[in-house]
Amino acid sequence: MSSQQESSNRGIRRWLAIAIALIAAAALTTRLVELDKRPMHGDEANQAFKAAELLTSGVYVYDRDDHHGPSLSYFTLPAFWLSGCRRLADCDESTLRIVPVVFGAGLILLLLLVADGLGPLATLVAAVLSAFSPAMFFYSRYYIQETLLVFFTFAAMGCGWRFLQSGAAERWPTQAPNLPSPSGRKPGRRYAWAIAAGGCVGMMHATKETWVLAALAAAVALGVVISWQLGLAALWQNLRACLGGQRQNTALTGLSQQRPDFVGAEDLPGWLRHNWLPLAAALLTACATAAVLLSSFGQNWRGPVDSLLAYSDYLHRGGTGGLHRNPWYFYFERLLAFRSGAIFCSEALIGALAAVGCVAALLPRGLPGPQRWFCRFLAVYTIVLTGLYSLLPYKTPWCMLSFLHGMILLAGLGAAALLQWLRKPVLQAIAALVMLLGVVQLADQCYRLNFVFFADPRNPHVYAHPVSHLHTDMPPLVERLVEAAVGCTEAAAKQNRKAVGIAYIHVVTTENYWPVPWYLRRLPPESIGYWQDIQAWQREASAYPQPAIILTTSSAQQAVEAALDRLCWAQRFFPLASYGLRPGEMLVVYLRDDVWQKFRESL
Amino acid sequence: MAARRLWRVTMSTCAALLSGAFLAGLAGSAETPAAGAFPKTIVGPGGQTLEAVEIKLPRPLFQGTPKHIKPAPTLEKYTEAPRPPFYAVAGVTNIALNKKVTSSDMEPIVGELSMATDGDKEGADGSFVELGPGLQWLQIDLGKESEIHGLCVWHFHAEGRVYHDVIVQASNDPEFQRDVVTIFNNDFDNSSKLGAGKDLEYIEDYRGKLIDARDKQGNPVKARYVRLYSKGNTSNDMNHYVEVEVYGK
Repeated sequence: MSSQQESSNRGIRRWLAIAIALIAAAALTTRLVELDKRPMHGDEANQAFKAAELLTSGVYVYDRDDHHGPSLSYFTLPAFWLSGCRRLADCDESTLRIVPVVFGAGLILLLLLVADGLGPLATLVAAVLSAFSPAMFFYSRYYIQETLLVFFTFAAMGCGWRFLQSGAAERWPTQAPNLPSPSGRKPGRRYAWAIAAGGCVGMMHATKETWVLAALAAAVALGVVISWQLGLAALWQNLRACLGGQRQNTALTGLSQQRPDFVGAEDLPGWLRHNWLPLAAALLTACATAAVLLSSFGQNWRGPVDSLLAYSDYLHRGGTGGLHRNPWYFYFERLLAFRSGAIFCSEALIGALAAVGCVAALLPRGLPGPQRWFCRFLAVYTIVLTGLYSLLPYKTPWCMLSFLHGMILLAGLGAAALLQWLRKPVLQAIAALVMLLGVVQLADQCYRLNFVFFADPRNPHVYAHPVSHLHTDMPPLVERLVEAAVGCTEAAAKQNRKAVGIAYIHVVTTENYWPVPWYLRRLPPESIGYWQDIQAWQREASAYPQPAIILTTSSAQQAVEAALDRLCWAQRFFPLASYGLRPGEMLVVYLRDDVWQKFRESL
Repeated sequence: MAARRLWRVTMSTCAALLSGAFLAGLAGSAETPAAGAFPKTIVGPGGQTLEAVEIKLPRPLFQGTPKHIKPAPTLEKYTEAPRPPFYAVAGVTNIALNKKVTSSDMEPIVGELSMATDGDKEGADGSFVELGPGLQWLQIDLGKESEIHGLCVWHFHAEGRVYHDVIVQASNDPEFQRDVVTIFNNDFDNSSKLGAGKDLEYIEDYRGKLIDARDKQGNPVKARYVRLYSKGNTSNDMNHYVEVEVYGK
């Protein structure tokens, strides 16, 4: 490569880096807007309590049945410290949700690791689509592990790619004379990239158990690509040798003229012999990273053991589906064509461009040499991962992020390939305009799904979600009712000289009552009791003074009213308000009649 | 002989009354007082003669007090007894029929906004518009400033349910920023931030909710726009309108 070309490449890389940084900044800024607008999902509230437990106790106890890995909680600690939160009651939704927002923006920056594998235009388009994919936007504002998992998966992939790129000089000491000489490559970088890749894999394990699906898809993709590439290339080399009357060393020097970074199966033992040390370092780093976090920095060594035993539980859950058993097309419907009422949502632009990207990656001459096998790896990885998630009966919409990110990378590739194939400038301009309009439409969906229909069933990403007025109306009402209850209790205490300090609120239901504890977090914990067994509540409640408020769910309402009858409390309690907890389930607020009288005086 | 004749007449009359009631139930009925139950005209607070406004009712889709809704001090006591007619000055009719409807949710989940003023009060699917969750409003443009004497609202009556934060306002400003008159408000805790209301919640049924918009002297509200708010119900978070009738001229 001439110095002019090198200088030009450096210029392109610089401008690409600036563009990516600007897109990441735009993504960060737009995703920070009104972070507390959407009510907390039950899963988010659950994770919040787990993170608060880490904040107050300093220990993360891995639960193999629930909560997933500790990385989300650990990365929330800086958010707690920076916002001055010492306990859960001090923080709000923004304190927590800023964590996935930062990782979502970081995901765009990671594209710089693979820019040479994808190509500059494909990288730029992938950055734009990552920033404005409605699903990526929505779930990067969700306090769950999904965005972190996608981040670490892509980081592992990127670091692995950089490791392979940085090892070329050492693996190919005799190069064909026309090949560019590697500049600035240092042996230490190989180890750094290998260790970084290992660290990212360790973080994947410490984030969510479904990381194994991405690992499996990557392993399959690597195997397919190596076998495929070697098979075709070796065949081609042999044919050329026969036609040309010369026999050449097949995959080695012949390929090195075109694809200096290719690893062939024939050379695999040699490659492994040469690189066993950095690979071992990567593996050790992966294990150590996961062990450190899962053991809570050595405070709970049961954690790493449970994290391995958990796979049997998750395998069973994934295989049966349970409450979240959904058909194979569940993700495609939400991504590509979701209609509810008068609203239609679709990320078909990403789907269509990803299909073009797959074709470009899989065609023999679809792409220039150095990118070919990386893009084929991406294509096979995305297809396999999509298939795995679609086949598993257990489906929740946020699980699509892992393969959606692969689709976005392929979509970038597809956009670049399309513009390359359309040789006429007019056609290129038209294609670019159509894609730009598609991106504008995606951005409009991002706005509507995040700031208008953020807790509405017409939003394909709203799943088992409370409605907005649970978030805005229930907590202030309950707090005012508790004040009234305190007033009643103090008045009674003055008369009877009894100590004040009782459970004012009983939460009684056999159903999942989350995120109710999040919305009651500012009340003293000793003033709230939770029961998921109505009969147990009936037995225990009579030992307490009567609560002022009983919260239950619509499906448990009849049983609770029957229990109130048996407790002889039925005449004193009436249903005051109801709020949507999730589709088909209302949260019902029962109030004691004397507290109502006191409350009315305050109105 | 006379006793037998009397018996036959009595049975025939009962049969006729029962079949008439059955047929009326099938075809829907106008809410006119049963003979002798309510007068056709009364004298208003200002001394004017008020006539019973004819309100055609849909078929009831459930009978009796809904068992799953417990009595509460915030809830109007449900009664199946005939509702007294709405009396108004002569010439008062439903002026909302086929008028333009807008909403805080212009992309309803089910149905069209125009269903709220199309005259179809049946409670089955296809007769109501469903708006999204949370606080939503539906606004009717009466075309010109009108005298609003009263309203009747049917949210949903295929089952007994209670809608929360039902607020009815009237104004000449389409944005409802100025000169807003609140006609009805059962938002007891002011969670909708439109003022705390003293009206009671009520159980929806085929009769709809009849709201008198007049003041104590019997003077109607003068406005061009009527806006109705609600915030979910006891069965789900959505908001529904089968029909809104505005009685005025």
